[in-house]
Amino acid sequence: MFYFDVAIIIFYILALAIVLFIILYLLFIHKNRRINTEMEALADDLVSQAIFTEFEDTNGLIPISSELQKQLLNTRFKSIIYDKIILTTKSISGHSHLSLQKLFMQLNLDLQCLKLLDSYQWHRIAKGIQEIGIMGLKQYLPDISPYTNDSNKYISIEAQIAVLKLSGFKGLRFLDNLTQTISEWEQIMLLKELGNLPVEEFSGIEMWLKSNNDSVVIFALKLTRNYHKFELYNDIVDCLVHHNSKVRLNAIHTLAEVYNQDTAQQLLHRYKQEDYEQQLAIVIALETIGDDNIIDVLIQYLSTEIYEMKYTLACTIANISKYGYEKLLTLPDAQHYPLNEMLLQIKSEMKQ
Amino acid sequence: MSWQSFLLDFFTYGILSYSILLLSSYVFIGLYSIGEVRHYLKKNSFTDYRILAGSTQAPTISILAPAYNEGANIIENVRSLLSIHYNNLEVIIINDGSKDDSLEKLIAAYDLFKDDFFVNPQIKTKDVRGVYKSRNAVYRKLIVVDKVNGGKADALNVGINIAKNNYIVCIDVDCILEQDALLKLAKPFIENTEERVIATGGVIRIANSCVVENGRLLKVNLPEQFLPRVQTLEYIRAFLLGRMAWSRLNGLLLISGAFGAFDRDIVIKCGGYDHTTVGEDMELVVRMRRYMEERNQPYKVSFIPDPLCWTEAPATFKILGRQRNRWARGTIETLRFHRIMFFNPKYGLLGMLSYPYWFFFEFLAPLVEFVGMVGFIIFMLFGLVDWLFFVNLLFFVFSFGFLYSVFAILMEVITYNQYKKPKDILNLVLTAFLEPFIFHPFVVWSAVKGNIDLLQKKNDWGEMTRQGFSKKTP
Repeated sequence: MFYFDVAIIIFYILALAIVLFIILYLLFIHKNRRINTEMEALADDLVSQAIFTEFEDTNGLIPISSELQKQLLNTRFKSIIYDKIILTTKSISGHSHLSLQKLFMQLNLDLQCLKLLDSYQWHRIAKGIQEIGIMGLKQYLPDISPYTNDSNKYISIEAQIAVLKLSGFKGLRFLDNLTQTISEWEQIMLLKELGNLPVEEFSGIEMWLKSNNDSVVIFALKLTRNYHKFELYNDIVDCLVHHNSKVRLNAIHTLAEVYNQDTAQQLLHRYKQEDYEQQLAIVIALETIGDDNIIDVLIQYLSTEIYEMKYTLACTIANISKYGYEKLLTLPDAQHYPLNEMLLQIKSEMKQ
Repeated sequence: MSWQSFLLDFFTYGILSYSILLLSSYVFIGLYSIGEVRHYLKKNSFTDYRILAGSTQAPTISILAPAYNEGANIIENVRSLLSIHYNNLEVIIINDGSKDDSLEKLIAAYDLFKDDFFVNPQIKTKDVRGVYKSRNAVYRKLIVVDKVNGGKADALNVGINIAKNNYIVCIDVDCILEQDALLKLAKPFIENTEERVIATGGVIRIANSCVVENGRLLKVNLPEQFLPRVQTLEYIRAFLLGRMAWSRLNGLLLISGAFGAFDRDIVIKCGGYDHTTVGEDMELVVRMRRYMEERNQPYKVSFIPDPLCWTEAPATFKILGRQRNRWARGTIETLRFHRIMFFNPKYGLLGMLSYPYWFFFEFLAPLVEFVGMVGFIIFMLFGLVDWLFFVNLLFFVFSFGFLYSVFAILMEVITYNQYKKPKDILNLVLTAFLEPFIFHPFVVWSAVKGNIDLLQKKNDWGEMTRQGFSKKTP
């Protein structure tokens, strides 16, 4: 019984302590919010001032009032202005971006970014790297470049994006020696970042298409697709026989965009050797790049019992040319389920 | 020692041992969830989900929303789904043979016409009467399917047959989604490089007393009525602690039927939702996991602690009872269908930990509690009860339950802090104090009734009448 009594008392005391902590925490947040609101207003003023300052008139410095100078000694205010500048810089560009960069440097806030890189905690390192990229602090490129191949994927992706922000397309050279796998999500982030940059020539894709890191090959295929690198056609075709099925899939997708007069036949040649997912991708690709010469071959595959494939084949044949659709209507199975219903849907979609 | 004393001791120490095991598992879950929540929040602080919204490379998603007699709010609900900002999306509303004017309202509001559509019968379902699309290009993402009534599982299976995208998001049509819900739910599928993520779920929050306008949540309020409020507390415990801990272990067996995302390819290979069970949401996840285990393919069922979806909780004991009864039956049916996994090392963590946990502590707990109460009454009538021991045990359990609930409230406050006022927190704490006396016995009794109904082969859903959300006052 004694142990029960002790346990009961401990539980209730702990619960009471937690409740008290919660109440105090909420009151603390509420109080801080009030103080922060005043400081944020000052920070907003400073940021606005920086954006509209003509630096030629001020010897490259943003004038800071004595009141603000005093506030800058306050750690909380410095943290608020730090976050405010980062947040504002994320959504602007051009002269305003440069102005905020100057303000950031003037207040020595770049040292705060660097300090984060020395942290033991991965999320603080990643934050520091991210903020160096956002602020465009090119002088710290050597400090963050080694992180592009970090084993912690959150750090490595931030470093990769920051390197692109700071060096443009040239920054993609981190792919040369990348051993970590780049996830689909990371690839989306990298492509988005590249989309924000002015397009420039870049080299290395031919090497990345032959990388031992399969995710690098996949990413290189996406780059080839996005930037229409027709000169790499043969390298893309080589990827059709890669051991990794995802690489082969991406090669098929790429050939749907980067193709020549032989591509349709090359894909058809691969069809029978491929797994289902790749076969489906080939049929979809042929809708774009195929011509009347492949229609009869595709019709042979229509006997499949897999309805998804059957429908995709029918779609491709119908959309290659008017001849394709008419040919489908003449087939014996065209009057029977499921092909008859499929053809009705295809006809309806063609009208739309 | 008389046989009565022996029986009493056996009974008492049996219940005590079970309670200690149960409470220990709660302690483990509570503490283990902390790491996962912290990791997620830290990771989230870098993530710009907007990248996914506009990307052509983002995962392709089909939202499946079955609707039965939802005429009152369906237009608004569909509008809120169509307003989700996501590139590669289609919204499929499945009218499950509604007896009201749900379909007619949709046709009128969205300028729908019956289109020629081949429904791939990958999963066997009841007949589809028609597939509708909009003449208006603004609603090009919308597909409405009219089918013969067959229940929620059957309706979802029709949606799966019609969906063309890689991932399906199954939702209740009257749920309110956060603006970035889809983005957050989609990300786990594409960020894991070691395992195939086959399903993800998020936190469901209680929308009672919240202010909703045009299908959007404008203001979060703590439910005013006791029953929805105690369910708020229960959901915080279950989602923020329980599911996060299981997700960290990769042993999660359940993704809420109100809102979850699934790999369509795996769902089809597993045969879709089982329409013979009322717990089709849990049963599908267990079957998908079993499918992957049997093929030795590395996989994960992921869970996100962000509040993604808001739903109306039962506000009366009658409706609550039906819901809990159904949940109990669903759990039992799922455990029964997949009993081969019980302590079977072939199924790894699923068979050796997840399944046994659900069996002993989710299925059996209400029964053990009920048997304990009945046993207590019998021993009391025979004058055999050690009152001191009984009272101590009762207070022990109550005080632990209260502490656990308060801990869950703390986790909620330091993470998402949806209820910001100290008054609301104190209200929740008071609710935690009252829960064992009002809510918990009722839920236990509903679960016991569920067991009885299952033995009597009752397999209906029961009518779940909803009151509707609070509207913004002009």
